[in-house]
Amino acid sequence: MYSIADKFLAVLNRRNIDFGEIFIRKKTVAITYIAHKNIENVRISNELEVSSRAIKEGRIGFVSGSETAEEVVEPTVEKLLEVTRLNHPLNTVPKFVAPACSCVKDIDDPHLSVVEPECVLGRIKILVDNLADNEVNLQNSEIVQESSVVLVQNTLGSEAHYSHARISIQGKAVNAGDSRRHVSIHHMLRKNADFLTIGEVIAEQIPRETKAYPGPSGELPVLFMPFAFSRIIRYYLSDFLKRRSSLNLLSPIRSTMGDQGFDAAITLIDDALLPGGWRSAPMDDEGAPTQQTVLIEKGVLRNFLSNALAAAEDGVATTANGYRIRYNPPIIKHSNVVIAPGTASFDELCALCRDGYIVETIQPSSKSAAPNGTFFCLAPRVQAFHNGRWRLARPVKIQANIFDLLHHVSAIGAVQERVLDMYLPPLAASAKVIR
Amino acid sequence: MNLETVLASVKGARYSEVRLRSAVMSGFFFNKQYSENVFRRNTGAGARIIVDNCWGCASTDWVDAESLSVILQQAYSLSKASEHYTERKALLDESPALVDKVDLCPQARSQVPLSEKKAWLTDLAAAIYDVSPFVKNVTISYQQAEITDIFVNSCGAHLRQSRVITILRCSVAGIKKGRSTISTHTVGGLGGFELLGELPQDELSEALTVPMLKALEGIPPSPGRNTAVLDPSLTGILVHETLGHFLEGDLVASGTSPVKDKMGQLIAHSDFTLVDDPTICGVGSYAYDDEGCQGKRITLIQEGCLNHFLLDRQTAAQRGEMSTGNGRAEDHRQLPLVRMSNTMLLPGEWRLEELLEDTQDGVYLTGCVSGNANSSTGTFTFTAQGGYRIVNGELAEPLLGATITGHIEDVLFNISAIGNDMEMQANSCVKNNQNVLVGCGSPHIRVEKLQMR
Repeated sequence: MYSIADKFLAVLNRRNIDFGEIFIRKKTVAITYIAHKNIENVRISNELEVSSRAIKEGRIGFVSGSETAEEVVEPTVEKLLEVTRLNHPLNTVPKFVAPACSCVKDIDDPHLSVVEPECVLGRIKILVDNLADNEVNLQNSEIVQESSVVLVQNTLGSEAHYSHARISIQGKAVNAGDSRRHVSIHHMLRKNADFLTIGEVIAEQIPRETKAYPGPSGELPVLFMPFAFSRIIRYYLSDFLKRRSSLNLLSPIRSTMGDQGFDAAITLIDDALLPGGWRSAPMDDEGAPTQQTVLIEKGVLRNFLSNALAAAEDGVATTANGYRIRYNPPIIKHSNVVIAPGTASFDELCALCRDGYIVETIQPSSKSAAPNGTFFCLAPRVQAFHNGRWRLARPVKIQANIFDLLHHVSAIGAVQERVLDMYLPPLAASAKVIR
Repeated sequence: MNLETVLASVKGARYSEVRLRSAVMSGFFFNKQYSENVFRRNTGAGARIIVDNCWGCASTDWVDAESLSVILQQAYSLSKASEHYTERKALLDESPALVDKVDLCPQARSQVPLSEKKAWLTDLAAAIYDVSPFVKNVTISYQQAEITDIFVNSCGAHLRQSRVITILRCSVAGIKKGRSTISTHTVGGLGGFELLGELPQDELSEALTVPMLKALEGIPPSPGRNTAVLDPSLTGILVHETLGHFLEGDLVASGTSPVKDKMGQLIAHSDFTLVDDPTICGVGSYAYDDEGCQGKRITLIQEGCLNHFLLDRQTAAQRGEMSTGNGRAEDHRQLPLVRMSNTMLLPGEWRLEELLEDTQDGVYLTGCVSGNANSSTGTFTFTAQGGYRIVNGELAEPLLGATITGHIEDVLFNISAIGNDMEMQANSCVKNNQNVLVGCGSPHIRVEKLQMR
């Protein structure tokens, strides 16, 4: 891994380039699919991703592949220079930095790493047994065990690499005695200790009620629980907070930097340094040291997420949010999204929304909001206040505009929850609910 | 490297197979501020093994004899170990072991220089910007993948298949008087750059900008039930998402497909005939699927009656049938799943002009900007790019943001006319986190009492 990177950069340096970079990710992934209590299939994937970029005469080029043989270095450099020559000259050439850390850095619990097939399946057995002890089965669920090593090296000097291991469990958990009692689960683990007790955590999430009542409809107060709120942020806001969207005129808030565009209760931070965070890492996939980036501060838009290229185009510094996904050039992606808690207790939030709903989860009708921020989604699991208490209500549809929703917030909960790569409290706001 | 020899090193397995994939992809992505040429070369191998009753699967991105031996061993161990954790039996139908070598588009391999492709795409972007000052951002993505698959199994199959798939996606953002909208257009198929080089750029730019400019002038449609004429792109995606997935053998086997017990029954209007065909030119084309089975045209719905499901080897064996050649994997890392290839609603007899003239009061909806379908319930919500009201058989004021919603049965039994045209769209379809290209072909159709929001 290191020798091929050295050779690649040596060959690039001989070709009078202005900047050269190589990125290598070696990953072993074990994916287990559980259809109904039992393993439907399990597979191990030994993956290698190599990508490189060069800048020459103000143009940038990108090639990628899955080969590290010495004999592919020269042809790869030739191809890289060919695609570099073909690109438009950049208006502003990105200012890359030497990669962020100069030593091996294991940032996760080594007990989670994927080693042998028996180990992979043994861990699944622990999970399934742990769930069974808590009267829970998994259905249509995927458990991904992943360990990887990331290396970034460029012509500015040092190299950086780190390794990590993590496990995700996503799907549906069902009460063993009553299949109508079920819940969507989304857990990300970076500690072996968490894995050993996950059954209890999942069991607690399974609802006790199954009979649903018809609730009200119209413009109503809605309490978005952290999972539902995280989906709203992920699908309907996060794209608008990317500098690329702003540059491409696709973000309606592109000209509102410094304005009070959101409710003063909203503070949103992208935090790649969060201890134990699902996307925490010492550097991004461009080698830039990761950071905390305040995007919205007390309702005021403060920044957009950037990678090196978008940042250069806009004349600002990268926020180290360049991520490479499956052999593609680095795109802008959030790390861990943190929304600051408010002051309202759960009871206070419920009291505010008594004429409306508690929305536990949403299913987006599309993967992004309309260009102006409006969205429409299904809320399959909701509660409405009925006969003096909150009860399971029939699914509803919700129509809103993400900017209106976050501009007129009724209250924000005092307690954050972790949902995948987001850390956020419940939020009470007004939305149009269609029964 | 002799794959048969590597495969023979696995002792004690009931069945074993290795798939090798080599894909070379060149692509361009640009808009007015930024351009990106990318080049990718991905290789790798996937192995599946049944020792006794369970599948064991492993893949590697390193293609050499040692790495293949490692994944075969991993797959073997997983198959053995899974015996303790699963009741699901691995099954295989009686599909024959085939031996063949096929190049589906040899002419596409004549190398068009990257510079020539880029010049054509740059001209296209300029032509789109020239249409109107309200065109604010044009994004063009071009991808050409040269794919070679080799499939070998322990029953004696040895297949080598080469193909080239090209896809062009254009997206235009328009802004006028504070209103904004996006128009997208995708073309592609089996073949190389020659597929695009023959397309007139002015027609492409018109197809993108005219609906967008009309939509910027448009009004939201009145909610309620309407007679709706749907264009091929909207119909194609609607049929794929809300009906095509129901016909996949794994959904049928799991009991989640609402048509699981309706074989031979009328499930749509009697003019409705739906086929899946990987042998025609589309982005979902292939000669052999990723289980070594021959791809063929399957009539799924014949004149409204459910005629066949899409099957891979496992689901075919469960039903006592033969695979329809629809076991597809995104790449060597993934396992084959039951997937559509190029799915087409066959045309009827109505010319578009007749179809509109025959509609006294309704809407004509074009394109699809977003949507969502629940493939276990059949409900859907799709937002059209644009469209028009139809008044007394003529197109009236343009529409913006028309959203249709309902249940697929509302569409299938309320079709009142099927056009005589046919347009094949290039789409990507995600199932179990696997993304494969699929063709969605359809004529215009007219649906009565379609719910709009």
